[in-house]
Amino acid sequence: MNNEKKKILILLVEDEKILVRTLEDRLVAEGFDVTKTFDGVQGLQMALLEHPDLILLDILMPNVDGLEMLKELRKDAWGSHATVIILTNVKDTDILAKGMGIGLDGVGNTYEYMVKTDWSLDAIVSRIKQRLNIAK
Amino acid sequence: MKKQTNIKKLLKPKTPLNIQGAFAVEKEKYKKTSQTLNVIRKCDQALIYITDEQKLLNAICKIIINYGPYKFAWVGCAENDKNKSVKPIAQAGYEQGYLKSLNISWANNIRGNGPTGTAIRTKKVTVCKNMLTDPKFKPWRSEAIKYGYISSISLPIQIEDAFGALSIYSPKPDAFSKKEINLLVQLTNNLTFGIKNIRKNLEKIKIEKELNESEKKYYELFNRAVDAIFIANPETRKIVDCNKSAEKLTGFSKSEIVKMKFSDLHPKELKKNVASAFKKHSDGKIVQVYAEVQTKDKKIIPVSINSSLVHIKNKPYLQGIFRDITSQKEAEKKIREYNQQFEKLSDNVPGLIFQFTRTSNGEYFVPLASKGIKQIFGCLPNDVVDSFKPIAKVIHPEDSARVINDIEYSAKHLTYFICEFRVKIPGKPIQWVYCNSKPEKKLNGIVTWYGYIYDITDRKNIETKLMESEEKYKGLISNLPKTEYVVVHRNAKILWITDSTSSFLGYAKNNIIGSSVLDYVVKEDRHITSQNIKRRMSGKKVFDYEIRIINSERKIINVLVKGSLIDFEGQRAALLILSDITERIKKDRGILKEKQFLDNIINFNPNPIQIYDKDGHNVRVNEAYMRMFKVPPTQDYNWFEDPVAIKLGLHEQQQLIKKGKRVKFPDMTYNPHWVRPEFPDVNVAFDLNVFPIMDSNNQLDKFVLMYEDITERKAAEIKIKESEEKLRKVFENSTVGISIVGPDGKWIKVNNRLCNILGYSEKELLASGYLKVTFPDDIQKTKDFNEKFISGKIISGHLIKRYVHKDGHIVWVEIGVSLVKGLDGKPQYFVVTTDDITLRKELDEAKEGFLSIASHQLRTPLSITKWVLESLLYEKNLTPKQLENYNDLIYSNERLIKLVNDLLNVSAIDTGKLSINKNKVDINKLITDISLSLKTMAEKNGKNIKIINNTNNGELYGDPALISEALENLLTNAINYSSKGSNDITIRVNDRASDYVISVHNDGYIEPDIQEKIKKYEKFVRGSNATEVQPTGSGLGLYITNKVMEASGGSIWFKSNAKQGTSFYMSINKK
Repeated sequence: MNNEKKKILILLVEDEKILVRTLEDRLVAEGFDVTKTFDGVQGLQMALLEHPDLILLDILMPNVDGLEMLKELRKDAWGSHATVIILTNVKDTDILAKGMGIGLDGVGNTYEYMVKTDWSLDAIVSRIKQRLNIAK
Repeated sequence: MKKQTNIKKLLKPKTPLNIQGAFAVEKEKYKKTSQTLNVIRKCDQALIYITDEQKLLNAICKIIINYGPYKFAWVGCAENDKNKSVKPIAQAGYEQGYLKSLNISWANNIRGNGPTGTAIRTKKVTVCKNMLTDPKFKPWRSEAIKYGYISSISLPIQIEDAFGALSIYSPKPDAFSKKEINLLVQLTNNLTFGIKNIRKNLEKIKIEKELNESEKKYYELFNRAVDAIFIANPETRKIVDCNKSAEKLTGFSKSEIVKMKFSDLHPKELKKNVASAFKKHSDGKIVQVYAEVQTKDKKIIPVSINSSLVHIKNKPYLQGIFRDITSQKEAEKKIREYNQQFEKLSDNVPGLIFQFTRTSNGEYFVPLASKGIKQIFGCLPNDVVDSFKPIAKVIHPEDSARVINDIEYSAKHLTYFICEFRVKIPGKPIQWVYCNSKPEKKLNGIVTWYGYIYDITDRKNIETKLMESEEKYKGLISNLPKTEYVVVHRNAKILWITDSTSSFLGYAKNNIIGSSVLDYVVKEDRHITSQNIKRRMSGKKVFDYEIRIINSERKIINVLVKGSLIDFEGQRAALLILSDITERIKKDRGILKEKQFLDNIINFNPNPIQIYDKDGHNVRVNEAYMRMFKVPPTQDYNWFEDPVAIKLGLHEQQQLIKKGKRVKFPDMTYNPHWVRPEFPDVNVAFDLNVFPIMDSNNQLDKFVLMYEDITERKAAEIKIKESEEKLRKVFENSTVGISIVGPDGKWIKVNNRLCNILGYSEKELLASGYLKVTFPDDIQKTKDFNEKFISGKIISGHLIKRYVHKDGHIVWVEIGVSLVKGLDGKPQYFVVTTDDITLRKELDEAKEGFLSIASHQLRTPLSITKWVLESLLYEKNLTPKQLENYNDLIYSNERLIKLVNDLLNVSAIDTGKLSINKNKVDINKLITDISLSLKTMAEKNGKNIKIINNTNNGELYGDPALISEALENLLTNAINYSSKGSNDITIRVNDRASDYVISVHNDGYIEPDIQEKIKKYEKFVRGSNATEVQPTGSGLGLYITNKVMEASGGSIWFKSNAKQGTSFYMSINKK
């Protein structure tokens, strides 16, 4: 990665420790900066504090869940534009619809929804790069 | 001084004057009056808030006792029984049995002269100043003393036609001053007014209820009426409603009919006529026309239309009642045919056979006449159909007045019209005719005669001549137009015969004389002839008799024989005078035909008709009678002794028939089974009209019963009642909440179950609307649903929503709504079923929750394995053996992921929990994403995914998750089941007008028999080689794909052949 540029910061919001570790390893290897949080409360604080370039967000988490956090985030001036990819194993269309609603409320930036088991790490990385407009 | 004396005088009382006492009396009086005023005030209050008559009377009595200086008050009501007793209906005070002992009457006797009885009888206020001294009170004195009553007042009350009195008792003598009496009279007046008011209100409520019910019944009757009924706008004549029979008559459905105008019901050529007929409408008048209706399948049906303006909810409507008169028309046609036959027959009969009619205002015409009229009156049958003039013109002026007089007499008394008169046709000699006819009076006052006229000129001429000739011949040839004479011996041998008689018989005179007269008589009549000759010869009287004679041409001639005793050439002989009556018999036959014609009219009458003789025995019935009653009338039955009629008290009415009165018995029921157990057990309901036919002496001759079958109407009424009862039971006892809701959202009627579901009482619900108890989040949804009904998009539908129970918890319900429209087509009310599905919802939620949790819980370790395995690859120092194991792990994990996804999907589909969430979808992005996610898998199989995109913007409105699921399945299949040789898997997107078609192509080939299996898109169907090629497949992919596409409004199909490979297609609707 290019050292002259400020490194790209990705915020992981995920309670499953092994997944966090695997994702972090891979993302760091790809040259991203990674900040980890393990629930929605921490995630929201960290997001508003650090203004990461992209947030990978799980849904089912202790304390505040991913959708709740997203709702709060969209209320913030910066947060309303933040790039969010929901990365979860909940494949429930009702929840999806709810999340869409939140996304549409924010300004422009609809979130993206990926089911973990359907996506390989490679695919996730290329998707992230695509979203951040980084050529592979 | 004087003054002082006066004062002293005053101060020095003669009798102890107690000023304080006098003051106390005044004070007491004042107190009493104010107490009575208070009583009136309290009573007036009671009048305002008590709405029950009995309660009011009780309250008034109580108030009088509680607030007035009285001991006992009661209200008695005058009974109309034998003793004219007074019945107590309300009371208050120290009665304790007093009333029971009273035995008061309002008759003018000792028990009726007490104050109460007098007040009722005279309708005047009656006071008993002191019961101890009043002689009139004697019968009750001892009782009154026992209870401590000294004086009383009785105030008459009259409400409508009921009388009574309010009686008040005081423990003091002379307790009722004039002022108080006035006040109490005022109280009674107020009370009367109050009770009248209560009754008026009750009456009003009753009438309103009845009106409501009658409207409902009217609509039911309307809908079930046998006649077709159309309701139309009186100005535009557009039909707004019709009943079931209308649909049956026209063949059109109601929805088609209400798009039509009145005139559209008729064939083209009739439209104008019908329209102009209905122009005559003015309010309340019924217009009746005969017309034709053209049915949907272009059949023409004759109808009678009764149309009138009716008011429904104060708006005028045009109501057309159409009755199919096909069968009536047929009967008319038949009658016409018989008519023609009759004409043919009657035309061949000499003389004139006719039907002659006199209208109620004295006009004559001859609707039916045989051709003989030409001979008799010199005119044609058609000339006299609507005019009597051609006949009146030719009746001899000297006879004319007599003929008219006789006709009028016959019309008035319904006696036979028999008359001989002269006819003078210009250019012809004067003709004598004989007329004999029988009158019949129709219900509308029209009198009709049936009869015949023939020429009696010859006879008249003979008569005239005879009058001039000798008396002895007169007797011989009296009143017979053509007469033959034969003189016979005792043994029937002919002694002498006139010349004309021998030519009459057709033999030479010499041959006849000496032969037996019996030789010329038909075999069957020989005996009677010889017997009569012998009788006559022995001096006995013999009446005229008819025999048949055979002439030389073997022609049979009917003759009437008169026999008389004469001396012939010195010996006793019989003179037989034969008159030819063949003509007469022919005419009799003609009349017989006429009778048959009438029979036909009776027989083909669509209404059942029965004729009884004057003793009440059946004479005949027509076909319609048999159709209605199924069995013929029993011969031993006597109508005047009908046991049922006697039981019903109709006996006297039946007797009226004998006096020549018409009688109507509406709404009767008859069951043949009642008469004889072997007869069918069918109830027949009918209206019965009975009218008498009187003979010439104005005595009952016969009487006719005309029945009008009302069985169907009755049955409909009973059915309505039954179904109402049934519905009411269903409504009340239903385990589902049922309610009727007005268009304003208010409950009109609710059943117990609904109250139960919502926790409110019926009263509480009726006072509020359904929106008030709807869960706030569902109010918009409910309003939207409601709007669909109001705007006419739907007339029935279901909705799952939430209510808030009275105790605050949420109740999930499924409501089924159907809209009932009024005659004006506007929503009238909704019938709503409400099913409590809270438990089901809770279970569903639990199940759904389980599914999503389970899927999450299963996927989490799988995704961990997936990603960790992938990370392992970055180590890059795996041995070939490790790499092989590693690939196996990856492969197994993917297989497990796929299986979990499939199973969860199938379970969602099978439980109907496949929810659809439509959203804007970018189809291009969706395809790119999926191909990206499957790229690794494809590459591992040595495949390359190619996308050919022919879309413009690629946007559609659908469920992205479901579309992805389906496409992913097709793509996975394409990767797994393509043949080894080729590399490319092609995804094509085609943009069509209303949908996108995505195809996934590979060069694999599916065998035809497998194709057939796959086409069913069932679970666990796999190709025969599938297990070999792809042992890990679950056999669920296509099943899921098909279901998913069905659910999201799309479809899938495929083509496969050996050369071009296999393409799976999915179409997705854009909206």
